[in-house]
Amino acid sequence: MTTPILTASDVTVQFGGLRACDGVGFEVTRGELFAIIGPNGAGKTSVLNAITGIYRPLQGASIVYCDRQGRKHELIGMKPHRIVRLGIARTFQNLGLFPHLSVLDNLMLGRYIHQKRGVLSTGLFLPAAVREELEQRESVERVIELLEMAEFRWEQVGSLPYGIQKRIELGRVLTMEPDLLLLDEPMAGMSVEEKRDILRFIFEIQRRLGVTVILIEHDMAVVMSVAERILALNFGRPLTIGTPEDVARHPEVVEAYLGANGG
Amino acid sequence: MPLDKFLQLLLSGISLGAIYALVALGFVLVFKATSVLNFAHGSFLMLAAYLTSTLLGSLGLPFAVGLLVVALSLAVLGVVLHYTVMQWMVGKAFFSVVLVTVGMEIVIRAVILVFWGPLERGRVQGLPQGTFSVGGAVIPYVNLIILAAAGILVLAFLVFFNRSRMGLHMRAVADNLEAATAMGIDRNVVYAGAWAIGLLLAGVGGVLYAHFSPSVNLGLGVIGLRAFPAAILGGIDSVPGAIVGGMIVALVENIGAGYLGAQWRDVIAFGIMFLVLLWRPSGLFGTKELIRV
Repeated sequence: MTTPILTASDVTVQFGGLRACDGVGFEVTRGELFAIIGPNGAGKTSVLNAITGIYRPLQGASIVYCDRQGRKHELIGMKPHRIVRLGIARTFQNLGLFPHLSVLDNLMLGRYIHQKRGVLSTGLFLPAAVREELEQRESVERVIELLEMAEFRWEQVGSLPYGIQKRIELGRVLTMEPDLLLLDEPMAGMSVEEKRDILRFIFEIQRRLGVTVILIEHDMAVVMSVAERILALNFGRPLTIGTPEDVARHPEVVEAYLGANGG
Repeated sequence: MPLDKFLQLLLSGISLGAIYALVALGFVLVFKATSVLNFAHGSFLMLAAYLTSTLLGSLGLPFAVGLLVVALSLAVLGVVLHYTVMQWMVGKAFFSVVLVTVGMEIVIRAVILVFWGPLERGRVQGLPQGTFSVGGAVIPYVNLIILAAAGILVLAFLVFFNRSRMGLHMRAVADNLEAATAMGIDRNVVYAGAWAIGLLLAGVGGVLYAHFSPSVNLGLGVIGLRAFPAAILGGIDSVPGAIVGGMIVALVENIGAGYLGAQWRDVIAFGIMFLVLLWRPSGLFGTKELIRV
């Protein structure tokens, strides 16, 4: 049994009198595809924002991340940009791109967590920094080829169609080469065909590149078909954790979903 | 001959425009990267001009050394300013942040008064003083050097902003702060960098203006605030707009004041600003609907 890549316990996020999530705890095994499901407003994104350091959970919570070298880091209280640099990438429910920057710049920004040269040496264009920049550029070019986007690498991202923008955002995840990837409803508002594309992409990145994925999704059917384990939330409280089969049979999950959809 | 006069005003206006472009560029950079509308920008130019009059005028340092010292001092001041004051204003209401910069302006003015006193100081003469004539217009060498120095710095800035990693990070933070954080960018480093570069540009503007203006005095802050009409004409979030806007404001102002009288200088510059705000609030190159949160 390997040490889990992420161990969260007793995560409670409160806004005024409202508990967005309440006493949530789970473990994510390295390499797995873990899903967090729940109806709208169940607190899924709050859990994600607690992991990425955007929200600060109440006292007593703990979120421990184990990096590739086996070092453990308590994420609570850490600055968001530091958490990213540990190898934790995320996508946004709405696009998290830079609309006025070129496709190339958008992808290059994904390489930053692997860039070690400081501001000064890159600012002065020192040889080592230039070499690093060129290496990064090469790996970005590989992704551009993979995404078949060579012809619009200089285009402003904001001028491209939505479907292509989503592809660029996922492509940027490839350039980031994260250890842990948090996907916040990546298929929201997409056609069945586009959903299938995204799912294929998620499989690729998880199976082929060995990236651990936490997928947030409210579409039960999608999650059931891909996730290895699922955490179900409702009104901020954890209902159950288990395999898709277990979770689908869990009476409270059935009620939360059927109640929300059918009632 | 009237054409000689026009040429004279045009050519000296170009040098002035180069200074305005620098100053507006610094102002726009700070606004773009940190969303702060910096009302103290003019007083940084003034501070730099006073430093210049001491370092180059009284102490007699060579021009290049003085320029470097003032530019770096202002850049360091920018970093210090961010980490001591502006950092705590991040995310506060736009209006509160503006008021902090207004307060900053008052403090700098007071500091100048304390250290340099209320009397105006003469024009700094750290550059070769001769003149040459072009088609009937008499041009001081100083103007030529100012134009060259400002031009080089503007180009250097453009390379930095469009090609360097820090420049990329500034553009990223300006475009989508949330996404920039998700890329692992520390916004405080970017903000401090923007303040440093912004004040450096105002600082160099101050050094050059101290060689251009007949005197160094407490009215120089208004020259720094030319960044407002220049930036608004160019489009307040546009880097090329700041350069073009600075040049146009200086030319119109210089030529207009040459014919109407020097007392019209400020009226013309800020008159341009009013007209732009009335007819084309986004300026020549600005984002059409600018919403800042």
